[in-house]
Amino acid sequence: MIAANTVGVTFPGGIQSLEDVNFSMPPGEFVSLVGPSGCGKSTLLRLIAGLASPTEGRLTVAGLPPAVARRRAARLSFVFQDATLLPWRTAAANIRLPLELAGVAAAERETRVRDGLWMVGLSDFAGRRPRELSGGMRMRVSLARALVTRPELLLLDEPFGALDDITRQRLNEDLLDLWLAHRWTAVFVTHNIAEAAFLSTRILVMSPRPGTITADVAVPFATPRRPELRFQADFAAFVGEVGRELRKGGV
Amino acid sequence: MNRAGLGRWLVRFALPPVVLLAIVIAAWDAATVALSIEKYLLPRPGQVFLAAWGDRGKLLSAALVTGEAAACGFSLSFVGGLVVACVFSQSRVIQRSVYPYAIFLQTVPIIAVAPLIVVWFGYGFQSVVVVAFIISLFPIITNASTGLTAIDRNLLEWFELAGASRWQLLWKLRLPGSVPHLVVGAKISAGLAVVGAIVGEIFAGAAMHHDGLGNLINQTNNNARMDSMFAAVLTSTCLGIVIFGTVSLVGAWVLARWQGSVG
Repeated sequence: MIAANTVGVTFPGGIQSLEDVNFSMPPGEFVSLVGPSGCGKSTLLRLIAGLASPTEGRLTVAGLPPAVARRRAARLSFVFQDATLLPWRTAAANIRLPLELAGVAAAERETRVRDGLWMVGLSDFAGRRPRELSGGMRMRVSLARALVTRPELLLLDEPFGALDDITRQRLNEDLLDLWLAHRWTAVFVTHNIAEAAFLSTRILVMSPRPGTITADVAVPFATPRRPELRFQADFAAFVGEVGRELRKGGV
Repeated sequence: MNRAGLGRWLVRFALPPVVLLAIVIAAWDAATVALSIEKYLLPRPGQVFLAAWGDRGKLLSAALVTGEAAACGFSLSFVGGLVVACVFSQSRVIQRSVYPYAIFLQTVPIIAVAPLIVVWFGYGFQSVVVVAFIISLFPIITNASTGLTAIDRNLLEWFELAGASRWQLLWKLRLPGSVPHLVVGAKISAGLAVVGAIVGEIFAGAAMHHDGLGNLINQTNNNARMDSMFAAVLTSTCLGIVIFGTVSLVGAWVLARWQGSVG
C-alpha cells in the first residue's frame, strides 16, 4: 500500500526534517509513527497524503505518487490534530461535507451520514454546531467525517493529542473497533507510546530531527483488544521496550 | 433578559450617554444665553426642537428619500464589493492588479469627482446613489477579501484532500467562512452609505424630484435658517443610527444563526 525508499525532506532554508526513511506497509495494517516532537512524523504523514513532496528518495501509495494515488487509486481520509470542522455546519452537515464534494447522491448521502453519526455514538447530536460540542465529541465528528467516504487509507495526525486521558482512551477503543470492522490501512501519528501500543499492529519509532526510522516493532497483542489490556504487565513491559527504543534514537 | 436585568442594563449602558447628552444640551443652552450668541450663528436647543417639530413632515420625507438612496448605495456596495472580493480570492494576479485602484477609489476626494458624477449620471437620485456607493464600497472589499482568504490552513488542506474544486472551495468554505468579516464590513459600510448619500445630495442632488436631507441642509443654510438646518443635521444623524442599527441587528442575527447558540 505504502512504500518509502530513502525518503528525505529538506525545507527551504536548509533545515533537514527527514533523512533516509525506508519502510513498506501492506494494506490493512494499523501503523503508528512514534517519535519526539519535531522529528518529522507529521511531515511524513503529509508526504503520504501528497500534501508535500520528498526532496530525496521516493514515496508511493498503491504504486503511484501520493497526490495521484488519492485521486485515482486509493480513497484517502485525513484527520488533523484539531477537529477542523466548519463552525457554521451542524455535526451531520459536517459529516455530509465530503459526500457533497464527491457528488454522492442525496439519498445515499443521508444514509451514510446517519451511519457515520451512529458509528461514533453521536446520533443524538446530529443538529448541534461544533461550538455546542465538547472537544471529544468534535473529534468524533471529525472521525465520522473521515470514515463516511469509506477510505482505504486513513491518516491520523495526533488526533487525540489535545484531549483529556479518559476521552483519549475511549476514542482509542472506538477507533480500534472501527478499524477491526472496516480494516482500512491506518497511519497514526502520536508521541504517546501507550496509545500507539494499544491501537496498532506495528510501531515505527523515529529519531529526533532529522527524523529517520530507528525501530520497526510488531505489536504482540491480538485483536480485538480489551481496555483492561492497558493494565496488564506485558503491556507495560512492551511500552517500556518501545520507550527504550525511542531513547536509543537519542531522545 | 428579565426585568431586573433590563434595569441593570439600562443603568449601566443606556443611562451614561443620556446623562452626557443632557449635560451637553444644558451647556449649549447656557452658552447661547450667557454669550448672547445670535440665532443665525447658533440657535438654542429649544429653537432647534421647535423647528424640528414644525418641519417634521418635511424631515421625515427627506429622511426617507436619503435613506432610500443610502440603502441603494449600500446594497450595490455589498453585492459589488463581495463580487470583487470573490474575484480577488481566485487570483492573486487580479488582486495585485486591481487592488491599487480600489484604494484609489477610497482615497479620491468625493467632492472632487462630484462634478464628473453629475456629468455622467445627471443631478438627482442616481448621482446620490453613485456617491453613496463609492464611499461605502471599500470596507466591503477589504473585509470580504480578508474573510475569503484568512481561512485556516488545515481546512484548506482538508478541502484539497477531499478533492474539492475551486468553485466548491469558494462556495462551501471561503464564502460561508467570511460571514463574520462580512458583517463587520457591512456595519462600517452602512454608516458610510448614509454619509455618502447626504454628501451626494449636497453636491449632486439638486433636482426637481429629489428632496433629501442633504438638499434640506443646503436650502436651510442658504436661507440662514440655522434652527431648521440643525434639525436637518440631527435628523441625518438619527437616520445614520437607524440604518447602522438595522444592519447591526441583521448582522447579529446572521452571526447567531451562523455559529449556532451555545446550548
